[in-house]
Amino acid sequence: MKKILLSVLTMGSLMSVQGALVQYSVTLDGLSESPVNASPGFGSGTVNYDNVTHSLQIQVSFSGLTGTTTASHIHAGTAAPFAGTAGVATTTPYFAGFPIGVSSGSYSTTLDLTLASSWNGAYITANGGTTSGAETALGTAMADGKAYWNIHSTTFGGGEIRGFLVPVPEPSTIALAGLGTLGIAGSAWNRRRINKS
Amino acid sequence: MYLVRTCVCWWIFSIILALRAAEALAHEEVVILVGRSAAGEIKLDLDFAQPIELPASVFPGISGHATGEVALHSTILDDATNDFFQLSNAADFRFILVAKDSGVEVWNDTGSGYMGIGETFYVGAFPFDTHPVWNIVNGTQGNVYWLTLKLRDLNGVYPDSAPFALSFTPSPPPPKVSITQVDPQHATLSWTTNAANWNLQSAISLTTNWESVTNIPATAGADFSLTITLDRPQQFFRLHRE
Repeated sequence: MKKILLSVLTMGSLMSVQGALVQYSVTLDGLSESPVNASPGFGSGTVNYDNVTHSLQIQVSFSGLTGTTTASHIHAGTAAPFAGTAGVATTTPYFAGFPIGVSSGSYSTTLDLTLASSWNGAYITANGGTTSGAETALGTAMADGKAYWNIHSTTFGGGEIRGFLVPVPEPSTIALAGLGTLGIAGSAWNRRRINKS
Repeated sequence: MYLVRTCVCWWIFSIILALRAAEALAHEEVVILVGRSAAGEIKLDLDFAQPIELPASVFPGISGHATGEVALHSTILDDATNDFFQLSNAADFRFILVAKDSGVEVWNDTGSGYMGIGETFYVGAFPFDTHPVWNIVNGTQGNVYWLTLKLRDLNGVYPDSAPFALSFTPSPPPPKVSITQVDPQHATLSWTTNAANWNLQSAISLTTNWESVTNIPATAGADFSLTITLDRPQQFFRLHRE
């Protein structure tokens, strides 16, 4: 039984490491800004990173900004996870076609990470001078909780709402977590049964 | 016959959508890069063309020409060759409006009004990225308007920067593409020959990449003219500034 469980765990780990698509969710608000602000604005979105096709599929919806949008991009990587600020990683001043001059809106696109135009030039330079270096750095920052999506507005030049990218557990990870929980519960039940007898 | 008519109508509808997209200005990176010298002085890298063209404002409540695209970034590189290094994160920056021409403004950091002379704008600690709104309120086409600023570190790690000047000019209105259906299979696109540095691009949808149209347009009076074949379910066109 132990051998079977170990095999399942090992297989799950390998699937997790080799998976091409890494999914992140993002919740943007003023409380997550640095410095914190009292904006009632809110946004949510997803970022799907494919390390085989070298693409970043991004999507966001936002509303309730006190100002109107002036810029938006993903920053990486902060010194510590889920805190602080970092330089701009993606296209400046904003993603192509991002809605500017609005207090609510939605946006989605897929960035080709092999193109220099998908990046802030300085971010490429800071990471070996190649788009692949920039991609590796951003991929690591996202995985480590050190990348955030910021939306700047006319009332908050440094950003009205932002949110760190949070990994979305893969179905295999959820299944493994469930399996682990079941295993712990089963072990506890078995110990209790032995103690009673 | 009904199907053909429907297809042509849909095609033309797509073209009209594209023409609206064509009105958007291409945007270029304009960054005021902030660093320090080895001697501990604030340095600025203004490596962009001036005057900066401001497009017609798209911001409700902000009239004239305006943009939030001109940003202040702290450098994320150490460049010993140019004596330009990353800032200390112990510093806390503001920029100060030192002087300005009549007709040009920069909005304050709460968006509640124009900055006054001597007023400060929050920039923050390294690393920073802030996008003030630069605004020519009452501008004349062709005129240049100047703002003079300087950076201050409230924590005293660095002395004030030397004053630096930014110049702005109202952007001319973007050229427009017009379309005329010649027959059910052809349409003609035309745009002004005055649109220097603007290239015709096309895409099969608004979410795919735009590609340059390599067909050479004819010149008819003051316009470029290009006849296209209506052989796709939809196609989008725009003029893109180089």
